[in-house]
Amino acid sequence: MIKNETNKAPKKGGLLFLVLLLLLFVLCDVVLTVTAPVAGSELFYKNDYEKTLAAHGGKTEYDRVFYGNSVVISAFIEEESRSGFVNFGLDYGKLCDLVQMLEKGMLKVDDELVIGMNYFVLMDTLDTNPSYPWHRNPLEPYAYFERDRIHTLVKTSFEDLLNDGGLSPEHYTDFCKTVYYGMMDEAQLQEKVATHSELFWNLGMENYRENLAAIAPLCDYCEKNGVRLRVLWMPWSDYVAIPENPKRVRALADEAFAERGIEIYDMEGAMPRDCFHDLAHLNYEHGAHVFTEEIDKWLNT
Amino acid sequence: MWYLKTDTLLLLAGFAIVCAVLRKLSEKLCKKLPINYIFPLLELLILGLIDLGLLAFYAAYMALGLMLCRALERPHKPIMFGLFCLLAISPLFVSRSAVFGFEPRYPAIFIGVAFNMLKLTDAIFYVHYSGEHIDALTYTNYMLFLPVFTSGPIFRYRDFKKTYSSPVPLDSSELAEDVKRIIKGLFKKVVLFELIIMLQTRLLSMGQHLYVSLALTFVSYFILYMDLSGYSDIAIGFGRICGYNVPENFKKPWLAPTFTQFWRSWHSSLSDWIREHIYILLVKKKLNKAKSALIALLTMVIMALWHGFNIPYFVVCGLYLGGLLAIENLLGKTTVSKRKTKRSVYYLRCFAVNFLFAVNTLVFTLPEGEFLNVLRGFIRL
Amino acid sequence: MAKHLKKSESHPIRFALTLVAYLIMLLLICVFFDGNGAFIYEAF
Repeated sequence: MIKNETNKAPKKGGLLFLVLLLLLFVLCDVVLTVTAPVAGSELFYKNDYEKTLAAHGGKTEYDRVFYGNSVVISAFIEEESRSGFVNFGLDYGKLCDLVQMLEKGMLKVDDELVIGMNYFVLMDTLDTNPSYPWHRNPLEPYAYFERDRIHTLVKTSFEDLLNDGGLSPEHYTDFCKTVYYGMMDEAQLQEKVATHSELFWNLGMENYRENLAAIAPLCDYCEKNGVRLRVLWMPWSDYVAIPENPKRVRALADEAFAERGIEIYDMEGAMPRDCFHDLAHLNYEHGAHVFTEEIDKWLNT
Repeated sequence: MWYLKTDTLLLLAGFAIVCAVLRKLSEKLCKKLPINYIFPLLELLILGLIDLGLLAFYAAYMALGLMLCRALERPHKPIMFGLFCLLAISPLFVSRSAVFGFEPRYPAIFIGVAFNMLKLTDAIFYVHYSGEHIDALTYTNYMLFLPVFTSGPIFRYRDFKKTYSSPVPLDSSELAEDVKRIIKGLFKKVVLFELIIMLQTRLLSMGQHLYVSLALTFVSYFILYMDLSGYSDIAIGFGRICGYNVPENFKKPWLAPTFTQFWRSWHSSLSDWIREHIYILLVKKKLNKAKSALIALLTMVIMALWHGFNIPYFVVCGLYLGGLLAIENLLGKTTVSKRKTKRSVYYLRCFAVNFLFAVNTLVFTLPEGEFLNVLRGFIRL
Repeated sequence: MAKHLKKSESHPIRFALTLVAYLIMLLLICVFFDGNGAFIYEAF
């Protein structure tokens, strides 16, 4: 016979308990969303979106934005540029991310927007950083959405308690985004080529559909808000020719931008090999300076 | 494990809510809704959403099972019963064919097969020994019951039939208790489990000493307890919201003064299932100590093999625990009454039983290669 | 402290404490969910 709690007298206040629990949980969630402790506190590591905002006094509205992925981060030195463009490169940044940021009001561009393109910016299947705030579903609790970072803090604090008996959580005060130094040697470059060709270069156009489709709403946003949109094809190392599929993606993107009369500037073959850290990222100690100086001329037109 | 993935947890929660709402509506409306038809359709839909192969496999498995039960309702030879049981459990062997050197081609379709083959086998036993007719709708609801699909507790057909015909009435207090149970279960399974694993990792770094091995033994017990009782709580909570009185799996096992009593309170749905099915098969005449000891040993060995076809499970779980249980039966010490035993002796017995069991849990919870290190620690001060 | 109160008086306090306890459990479940602590074994 199954014995269970059915034999006990029913407890009162069940509905009240459930309603209050739900209300309290929702209230907690609203408070956490509004205060955003994970983005604001030094106890949690920051993503590139948060780092960019933190480096500019927390503001989300800019006159001129240079958007892209890690290639833009490591290529454009904002402090050296006289163009007034903000380096809004984001790790794994894609076109869909940009559109979502703009549509959800997490980024507002007043005058000019330049997108540093390469095929990764258009790759649907590329990993994203799940902590970017535009990925949060409206019904997703804040604690669940930010679980990776909160979990890291709780876990390391518990480990500290077990090991030392005290708490000494790490403080993340460095808001610098990842840049690359030096140049990869021959063996490393060959490995890079092998990895990329296996993972990315065979991907058909169906893997770029969503981001290519994001070009239209992006152009719509810029037209509606009087933002000058330009596209820049970021440098690519001459160590290996741009593969076939990425070339096709570029052609499709160029066609879509050209239809909307968007200016395109091609710097794919513009940089010598000694400016590169790997196939696409420039090295920060040399290549980035060269690139920034070169691109300033165009940015200021 | 569906309760640990967001998408399947939400699917199951949605399913439970729909079940509860339909039951309530059925109560309120003059004409009862055909919920016993709707539930299995929803369950099949959910299986299909999770994996189409899974849906196809279980639809076929269920249909085959019903045919076997129908065949047993007619006069039949005992060998048919044996063959049908083997057929019912055969997917478990296919899912574990890697042990025999063959990789199953579509492993995803065998999710939950260890639990579902027990359900079908029980239905076959039920028909064979009771001679009763199995209603197709009851059977379908029984086999597809989602809250216990991948993890138990293990439902017996006769118990399911009982709760199927008189569902758990769902009022606000019942709902509150079920929600609390689910939250407690998730907390044990997701939060406490991980924190205790971290404690275990810390202890493992402290070298081989008696006190460390003792601490690891207790920690290991609680790791397994949080894991297993956590998912039982979640399954029972969701099951009751759907209207079913799911059997309890854990009934304060730390208060069991004998192994016999322990196995009626730790993962009891599984050990009860195995023991009772062996009992029915093997015992024709009166049970003596030797037969009881044999059944006890066999129960543990089968339980070990059910968990996995490997030597550690077989030796530690099967022979070690089965041996302890068999000794208890041979000595006639299977049950100790709390009222008739001195308090200190009673609690000492509880401690001894749980400690000896906890040593067995080390095989399951420790990283590979650490078990012998921990055992060595017991002889080092 | 609750022992010194009559049962009827302790009930709202117990209710509130239970509510807070379950709220904390829910928040911690959200934090620890997905990708932590796999099963020790999988009975397939």
